[in-house]
Amino acid sequence: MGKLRFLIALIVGKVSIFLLDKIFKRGTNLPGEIMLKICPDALSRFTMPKTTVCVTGTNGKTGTSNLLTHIIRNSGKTVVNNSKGSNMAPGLVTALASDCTLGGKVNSDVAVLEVDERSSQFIYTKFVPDYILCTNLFRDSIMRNGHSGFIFDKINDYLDEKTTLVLNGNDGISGLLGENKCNRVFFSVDKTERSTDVCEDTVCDLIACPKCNHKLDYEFYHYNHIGVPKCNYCGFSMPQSTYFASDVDFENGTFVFNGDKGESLVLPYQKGNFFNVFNITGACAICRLMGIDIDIIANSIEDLSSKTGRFQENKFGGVEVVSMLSKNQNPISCSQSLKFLDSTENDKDVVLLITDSNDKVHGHEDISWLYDTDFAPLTSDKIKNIYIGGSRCYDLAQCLEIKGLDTEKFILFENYDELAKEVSNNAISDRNIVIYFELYATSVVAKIKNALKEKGEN
Amino acid sequence: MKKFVIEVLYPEYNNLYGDRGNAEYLQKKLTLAGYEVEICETSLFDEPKFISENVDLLLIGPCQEKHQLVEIETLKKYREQIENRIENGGVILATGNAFEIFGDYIEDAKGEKHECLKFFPYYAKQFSRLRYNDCSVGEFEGMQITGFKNLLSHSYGDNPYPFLTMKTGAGMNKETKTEGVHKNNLFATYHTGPILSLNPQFTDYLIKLVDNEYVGAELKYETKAYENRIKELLK
Repeated sequence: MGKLRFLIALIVGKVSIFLLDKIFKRGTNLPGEIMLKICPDALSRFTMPKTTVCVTGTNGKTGTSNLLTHIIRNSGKTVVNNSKGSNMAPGLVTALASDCTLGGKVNSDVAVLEVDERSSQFIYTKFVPDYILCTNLFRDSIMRNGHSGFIFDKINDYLDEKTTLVLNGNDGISGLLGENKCNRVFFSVDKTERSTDVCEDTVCDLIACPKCNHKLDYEFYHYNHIGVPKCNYCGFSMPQSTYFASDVDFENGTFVFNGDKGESLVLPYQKGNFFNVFNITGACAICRLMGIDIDIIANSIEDLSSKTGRFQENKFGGVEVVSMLSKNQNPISCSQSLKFLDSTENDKDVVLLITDSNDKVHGHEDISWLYDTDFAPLTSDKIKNIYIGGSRCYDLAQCLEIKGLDTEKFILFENYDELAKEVSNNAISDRNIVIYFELYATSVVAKIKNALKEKGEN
Repeated sequence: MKKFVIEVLYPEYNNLYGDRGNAEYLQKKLTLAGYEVEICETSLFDEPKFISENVDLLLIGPCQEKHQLVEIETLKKYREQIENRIENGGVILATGNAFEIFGDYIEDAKGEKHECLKFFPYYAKQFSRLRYNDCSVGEFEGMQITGFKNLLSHSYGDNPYPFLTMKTGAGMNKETKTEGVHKNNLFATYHTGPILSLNPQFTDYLIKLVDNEYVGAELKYETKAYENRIKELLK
C-alpha cells in the first residue's frame, strides 16, 4: 500500500514539476508539498544515491552547498541538489522527485542537500545521510530559532550514528554535535593577522564553558565565538582538526587549504568575505573525504571565484551605489555586512532598509535583534547621511542613538517612496551611496536606483 | 555627580533577545541626565555585588533553558539576601524566562521538576517543541507597557502579585491576562524587547524608584517609537 501511495505521489510530483517548469520557468516547492500530502513518508521511500551529503548551520549553508555541488560535478560525478527550492522537506522531495526513476531510485551519483536546521527531525529520520556538514551555529532570527542551544538540540536529537559529521573546529557550539555518537571530522582556520585576543563583536554566543560553566578562555577569536576556545578550569578544548586553512592573505584574498595527507593548496576566496574561508575549507574537507582529487578541487574553486560577489555596484551620473543584502533578524550576518563600510575611504550616505519592510503583513517585527548588532562602522566621519526606512524606522533610530550614533545624520521615512526620492535629491557626485536591505526590500532598492538613474539622465 | 550603580547578573548566559539593550539604554539616559553610571557584570562563580555593596538596580535577563537551571542552583545560595532585597525595596528587573526563577518550580518537557527560589506560588511548564512568540501590550498603574516574548514555557498557578494586566496577547499563560510579578520594587516579566528602551515612561518610573529627584532625559526617537508601537498593537 505504501509503495502504491509513493508511486501515485511520484507520478503527480513529476507531472507537476514538468508543468510548473513550463509555466513559471523556475523552481517551486509545490510538487514536494503535494507529494508529502499524498505520501507523508515520501522522503524515506527514495533509493538514495551512493553518497548523500547534507549541509546545515546558521550561516553559509547555501554558499557551501553550491560550491560542493560545483566541485563534485567537476570531478565527473552527477549531482542532484535542492538549490532551486527550499531547504525544508518539500524542497528536498521536489529535488529528488525530479531526478529519479518511477521506482524512486535517484539517478545522480551524489545528492548535496541544504537542510534547514529546524527541519532535521523531518529529514535525518527519513534517510541516513553519509555526511552532514554543519557550517556553524549562532543566534539567528529570534521568532523562528529562539537561541543557539534550541537549534543545537533540534539537530543533535535526530542524528544517526552511521552519519559522519563534518564540523567547524572553531565553533564550540556546533562542534559538540554528535559527541559520543557519530564519527566526527573537524575543519578549522588557523590564527590570522586579524584574529583578536578579546571578542570585539557585540555578540559572543559561547562565553562560558559548555562542560563546567566557568568562563572560557580563547586562544584567539576570528569573529564572534568563532575561534579557539579552551577552559582553564576543566580542560575542555576542541578536537584536533583534520583539515585546516592557514596563511589567510586578506590583501590578495587567498588562503592555503591543508589536508590530512600532507597535501596543501593555495585557494582564492572572495576578498572581503572571510566567512568564505570557512565555507570553502568545509566543502574541501567533504570532497577529500569522498576521495576527490586535490587538483580537481583546485581548478573548481578558481572557476567559482570569478563569479559575482555578495553585493552589487552601479554608477548613476557621478554617484556610485553599492547595495548589499543583509539577512533580516540575523545580527551576525547584518554586523558582518556593515563591516564593509570600514573598508571604503570615500564619503558616503548609508541607507538602512534592514528592518522587515513587510512588517504589516508578516506581523509586528521583534526588533530586539538590533541590539545584538554591531553598528560601530556607522560612526565613521565619512558617513554624511543615514537614511532609515520602514515602519520600524523610529525603533532603529533609537537603537542607533543608544549605540552612540549622531542623530543629526538621521533622515527617517516610514514611506519608502519618499525615502527613494529624498536619497536621489540629496545625492551628489563624489559621495557614494551604500544601501543595506533585507530580502523583501529588493523593490525599494530598485526604486532608489530608478530615482538616481532618472536624475542622472536629466 | 550622582552615581547610579547597575548590576547585570550572569551576562555570559543572560544575553539573549537583545536584552543587553536595557543596560545600554539606562546608561545613555542616565548619562544624559547627569549621572555617573557604573555597570557591574557578575559571572556565575562570583558573588553578586548586591550581597555586600550598594546596587541601585539589579538586572537579570533571559537565557537558554539549560542555563536557567544552572543559574537557579547558584542563586539558591543567595536566597535569603534576594528575599531581603525584595522586602527592603531594592529594585530588581527580571526579564524573559528570569521571571520563572522567583516561582515555585519549572517542569521540563520530560515532566521532571526543578525547584526554583519559591518566593511565589506560580510554576512554569516547558513546551516540547514550538516556541511562543508574541508582541503585546499590558497595563501597569495606568502605563501601557509593551514587549516581545520568545518562550519555551508558560507559567501557571497562583500569582498573588501580578505586574501587568494584558490588553493584547497572553499573560503568563494563554488562559490568563495577568503577567509577571511586582512586589515592592521587584519587577519580573516574560517580556523582552529590550523592555526598557521599548518603554521610556516605565524606565523613568524605575529610575525614580531609585532617585526621586530624577528629571527624565529623553532620547530623540524614543517617544515616537513607543507611541507608534502602542498605536499599531492596540489597533
